[in-house]
Amino acid sequence: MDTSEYRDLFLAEAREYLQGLNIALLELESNPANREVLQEMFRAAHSLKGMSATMGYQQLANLTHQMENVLDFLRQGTLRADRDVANILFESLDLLELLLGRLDEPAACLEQVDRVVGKLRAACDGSMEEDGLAENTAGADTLLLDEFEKEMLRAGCASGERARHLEVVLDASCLLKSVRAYMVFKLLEKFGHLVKAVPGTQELEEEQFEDRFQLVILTQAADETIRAELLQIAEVANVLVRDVPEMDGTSASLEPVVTRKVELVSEAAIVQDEANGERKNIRRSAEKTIRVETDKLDKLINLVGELVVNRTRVVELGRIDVAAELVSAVEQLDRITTDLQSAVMKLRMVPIKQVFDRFPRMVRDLSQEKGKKVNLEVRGEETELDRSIVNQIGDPLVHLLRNSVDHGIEPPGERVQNGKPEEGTIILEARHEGSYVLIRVSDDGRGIATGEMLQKAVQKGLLSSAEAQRMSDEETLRLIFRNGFSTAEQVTDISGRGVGMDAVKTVIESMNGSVEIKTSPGEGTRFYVRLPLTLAIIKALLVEVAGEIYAIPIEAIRENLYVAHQDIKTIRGEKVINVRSEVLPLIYLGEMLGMKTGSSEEILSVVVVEAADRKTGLVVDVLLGQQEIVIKSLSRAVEGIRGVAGATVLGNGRVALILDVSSLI
Amino acid sequence: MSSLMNKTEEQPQEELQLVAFFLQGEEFAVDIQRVREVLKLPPITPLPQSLDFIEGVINLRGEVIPVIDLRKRFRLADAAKSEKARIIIVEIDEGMVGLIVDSVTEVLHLNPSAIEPPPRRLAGTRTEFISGVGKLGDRLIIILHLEKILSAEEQLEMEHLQLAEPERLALNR
Repeated sequence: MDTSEYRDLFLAEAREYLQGLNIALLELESNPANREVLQEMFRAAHSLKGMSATMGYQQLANLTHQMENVLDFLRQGTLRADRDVANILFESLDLLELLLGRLDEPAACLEQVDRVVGKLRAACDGSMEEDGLAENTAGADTLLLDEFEKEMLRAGCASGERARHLEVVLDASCLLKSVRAYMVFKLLEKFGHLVKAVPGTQELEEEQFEDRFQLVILTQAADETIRAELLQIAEVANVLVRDVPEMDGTSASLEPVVTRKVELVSEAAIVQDEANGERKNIRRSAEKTIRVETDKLDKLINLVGELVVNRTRVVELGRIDVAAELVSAVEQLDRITTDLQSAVMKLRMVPIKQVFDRFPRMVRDLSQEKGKKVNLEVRGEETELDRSIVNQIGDPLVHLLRNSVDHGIEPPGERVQNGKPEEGTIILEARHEGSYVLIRVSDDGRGIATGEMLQKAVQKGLLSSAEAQRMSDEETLRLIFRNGFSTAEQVTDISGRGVGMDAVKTVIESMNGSVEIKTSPGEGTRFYVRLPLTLAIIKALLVEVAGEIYAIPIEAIRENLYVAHQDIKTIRGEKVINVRSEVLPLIYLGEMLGMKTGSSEEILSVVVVEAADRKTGLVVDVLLGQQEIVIKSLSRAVEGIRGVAGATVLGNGRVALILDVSSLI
Repeated sequence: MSSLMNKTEEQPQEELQLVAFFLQGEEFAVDIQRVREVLKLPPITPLPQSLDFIEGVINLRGEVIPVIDLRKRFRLADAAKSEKARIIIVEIDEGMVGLIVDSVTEVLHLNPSAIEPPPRRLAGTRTEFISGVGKLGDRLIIILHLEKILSAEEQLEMEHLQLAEPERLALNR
C-alpha cells in the first residue's frame, strides 16, 4: 500500500493527538487520579500507534506502543502517575514531536527512541510483568453484564430466543477494523439483536481495540449458521460462539447475579437502541468535520465576495425600475447573499484553542527551569478568530507569557515574604469585544517599576534626562515596546535580550491590532492585545484624492479635521498644524502618491493618522465615509509599492487601493 | 527557402494556437495556452509610484490584477484608447496580468516550422521580448516572450522591432 499521499493527513492528525496528549498529561500531573483523562490518553496513544504502524513508521509505532503500555498500567491502577512517570511521558511526547518532524530520516533518532522506550519499559516493570497484559484493551477479557442487560436477556429467552456470546477475531493485518466491526453488526441484525458489545460501539467505531471484540446477542439462529455467515466477511479470522457466562441459555438459572461495578450502562443503552441505532452511532463522529484545503476555502470566499459586490449592483438596478416582483426577488437575493457571506466568513474562523493549547506545557517547563511556581489559567479558548490571525498570534503570545514567567512572577521565597501565595498565577484570557477579540495576559507578579525603567532608558541613551522627567507613567510603560529596551537583570535565552517586546508590537500592529500594558507595582502586570476578528474584512475610511478613491484602515485613524489654510504653519520648511497644542506634520496625500494634486480649497480635509506612536495629518480632497472592505492582496507583479497595503473592490466594481499608514508617514 | 522546407519534413509538430493582436499597426501574438481571457477596457485604478508602463489595477471577478500598457512597454507613441482596445489577461510566473493592446484580431493556427527565431540580423537590438516571428502567408507575426514582459531592465526599442522592408522580403522569400 502506497501511503505517501496520506503523509500530510497523517502529520496533521498525529500533531493533534500529540497536542491532546500534552494537555491531558498536564491535567494528569495535577490530578493523578483522573481516570477519564487516562482513558483519553490511552485512546490517543493507541490511535497514534495504529496510524504510525499503518504508515510504516516503525519508530513511532514502537514508542507509542510502549507509551500505551504505561498508560494501560496507569489506567488499571497498577502504576501511579507520580512525577517520574509524568516526566518520562513528557520526554516521550517531546521525542514523538521530534520524530514527526523527521519522518523522512527513519534512522535519525534510533538511539533516543531506544533510550526512551527503555525508560518506559522500566516504568512498566516497576509495576507488573510486561507483555500479555499490555495487549488487553478495556475490559476485553471480562464480560460483565449489568442488570438492564440481564433483564433484556431474560426477556429474550422467555420469548424463545437464546443468548449467545460471540468473540470475533480479525486478521492482525486488518487496516479498517471499525469497518469490519460495522459489517459484523450489520450482519447480526439478520439473526437477532445486539445486547452488548465489548469494547463499546464508540470504541469499536474509533478503532479503540486490538484484533478482537466480544458481543452478546439474542438470536434464534443456530451457532453454526451465525459462525459461517460471519466468517464470510473479509478479514474476519475467527468467530467463537459460546454460552453467555452467568447464563446458560435457559430461563431457569436466570437469578440476578450481583455485579461488581456497572460502568457500561450508557454504552449498553446505545447498543440496544432501535434496530439501526448502532448504524447512526458508527457514522456519527466521522461526519462532524471534514478537512478542506485552505486554497479551496479562499477561492470560495473570494467568489462570495464578488457575489456580494454584484448583489449591490443588482439591488441598485432593482431600485431604478420596474415590476414589484423583481423588487421583492432582488430583496430576497440581497438577504440570501448577506447570509451566505457571513456563513462563508465563519468558515475561516477557528477557535483560539489551537494556539492556547501549547501554552500550559510551555509555562510548566519554563517555570520549572526558572525555579518558579506558576499556575496558568486559560479562559475563553473557544473564542473564534480568523485562521490567518490564529496562525500569527502564537509567537507574540509566547513572548508575553515568557515575559510574565521570567520577569513578572517572583521566585517562591520572595512571594512568601511579600505575603503572596507561593504559587504565582498567570491568566490567559480571550473574549469577543465588538468586532475585536481581546486577549489578556495578566500575572500577579511584582509589576513594573516605572522609575527603574526611566533610569535604564536614560542609561541606554534612549531618552535624555529632561525627556525622562516629563514622561507620564503610561508613556514610560510604552517604552517597553521600544527597540533595544530591556529591564531584565538576568539575561535568559529567550526573553530579556531587548528583542521580543518590540517584535510583539510590530506583529500585532501588522494585523491591524494593538497592544497595551498596565501595571501595578507589587500586584502584577496586564497586557491587553486587541485583534480584529478577521483580516479579510476591515473597517476603513474612504477618501478621494486626485479623483481616485483610497481606503485608510480605521485602526490607524485618530480623528478627521477641517483645517483652514491660514492655520497651516511652516516649521523648517515643513507644513504643520496645531491640534489642541499638539504639533502635527501635514502630508499632502496627492503629492505623496505622485498624483496630480487637485483642489486648492480654502478648507482642507485632514485625516489624523497614527502609526508607531507618530501622528500625522493626511490632506485629502474629500472624505467619503466609513465602510467595511474586503482586503485583496496585490499581485506579486506589482507588490511592494510604498504606502499601499493592498486593494479592495468597491460596490461599483472598481478597485480602490488601501493605504499603508505606517509606511506613508 | 529550401532550409525551411527541410525543417517541415524533419519535425512535423503539433500546431500552435496563438491569440493575435495589433499594436501600432504591427501584428503580435501570444500563446493561447497562456491567455485566460480577453476583456474590453474596464475602469483602471492607477497605481501610484509604480513602473511607468503599469497602467494600474482592475477587478476581474474579485481578483485584483495589474495591467500593463504594451504601447508604453514598447515605448510606442501614446495613442488614445479606441473602442477596439482590449485587455488580454495572461498568466505569467508572477500571476495574472492584463496587457492593453490596440485590438485583438483572431486566433491563429501556426505550424511550429513556420516560426523563425528572432531575426539575428537586427544587430544591437534586444530581442528578449520576442520568442519568434511567425509566417502566415504574407503576414509576419511577432510572438511575445511573456516571461520578459515585466522585467524592467529589458527595454525593447520598438523602432528596431518594426521590420525593415528588405528583411520582410528576406523572410517572405
